[in-house]
Amino acid sequence: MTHHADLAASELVRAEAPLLAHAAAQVGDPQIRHRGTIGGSLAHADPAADLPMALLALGGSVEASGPGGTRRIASDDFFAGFFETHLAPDELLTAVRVPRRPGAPWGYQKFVRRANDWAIVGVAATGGRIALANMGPVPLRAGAAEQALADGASIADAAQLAADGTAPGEDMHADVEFRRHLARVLTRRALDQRN
Amino acid sequence: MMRVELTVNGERRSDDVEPRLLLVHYLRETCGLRAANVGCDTTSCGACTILLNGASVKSCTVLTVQAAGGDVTTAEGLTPADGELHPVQRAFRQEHGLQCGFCTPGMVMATVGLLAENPHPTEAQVREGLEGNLCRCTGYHNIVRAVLAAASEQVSS
Repeated sequence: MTHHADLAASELVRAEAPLLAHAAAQVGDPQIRHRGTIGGSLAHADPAADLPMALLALGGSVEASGPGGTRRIASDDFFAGFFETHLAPDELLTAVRVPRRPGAPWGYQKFVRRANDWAIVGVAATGGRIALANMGPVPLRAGAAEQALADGASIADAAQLAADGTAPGEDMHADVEFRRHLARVLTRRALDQRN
Repeated sequence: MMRVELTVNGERRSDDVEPRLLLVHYLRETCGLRAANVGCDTTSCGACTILLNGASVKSCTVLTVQAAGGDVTTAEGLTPADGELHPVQRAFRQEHGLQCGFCTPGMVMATVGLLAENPHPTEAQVREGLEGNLCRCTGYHNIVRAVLAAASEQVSS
């Protein structure tokens, strides 16, 4: 599996899926990016992590291989719960697929207290899809905001719907209302950044 | 036990290790190299930073068997035992880039890794490049100065 540092530096990924390269560059710190892998991060399924959110925003998929063969699981169907995926106990994640989108606009916002923290809330937006980190037990789509955009709403109006249908937790960094506020603000910024 | 073969500071080694043995414990206890410190044991503090195949890694989060066939460099390996200090080490001395010194080997190795990837970083890039290394004395300003001095080769011998 590919290390985050290699993903972030790959000319191919930077050209064809720049959001993914950017997300990989946000993970942890340099030493962690030299060891951690995209497959490991996805299978770990931390809802606050960068790459699960990026894969969901890109509409990518993973390949799971086991005794029964190899199957493909779409990112929308991969995350099962808090640190849980739909990988079977006898399956390994063996490949990650993302659509090629050279030149497609994208936005990526990650709110942290310190440089190498997990996102208190994160937002990745591209191609009409908006993915949220740490707004529930799994990375989530901001479905209402996506629909509003598709229906012609302004960015500001669509972003107001970003927290609809989410179920964020609270911890020492942020309570539920602050997370919902962050989701709306960061979605607006990600959508603005995209243009 | 498993047999691992790897290169540590230029020396080829072959050792029997437990599969669970962390690289930092292998370096400290099997190889007797004590520069890499165990600070947090959770990949947070960076005191155990070494180079594995030229890239900075935290050796408390690498199994020794994962380094099999690899090339490991610790702070002891930056320079011959009786040789002149490495430019990054000299820069840390010159700029007093340490207080208690516990984080220093990790800071130095992270710096060597950073400058290998980006020989002339800005101050912001230095701070981002060392974000995985904590100095509990909070001596960051002099550490950043040391890295910038090393990068600009403004280091006296």
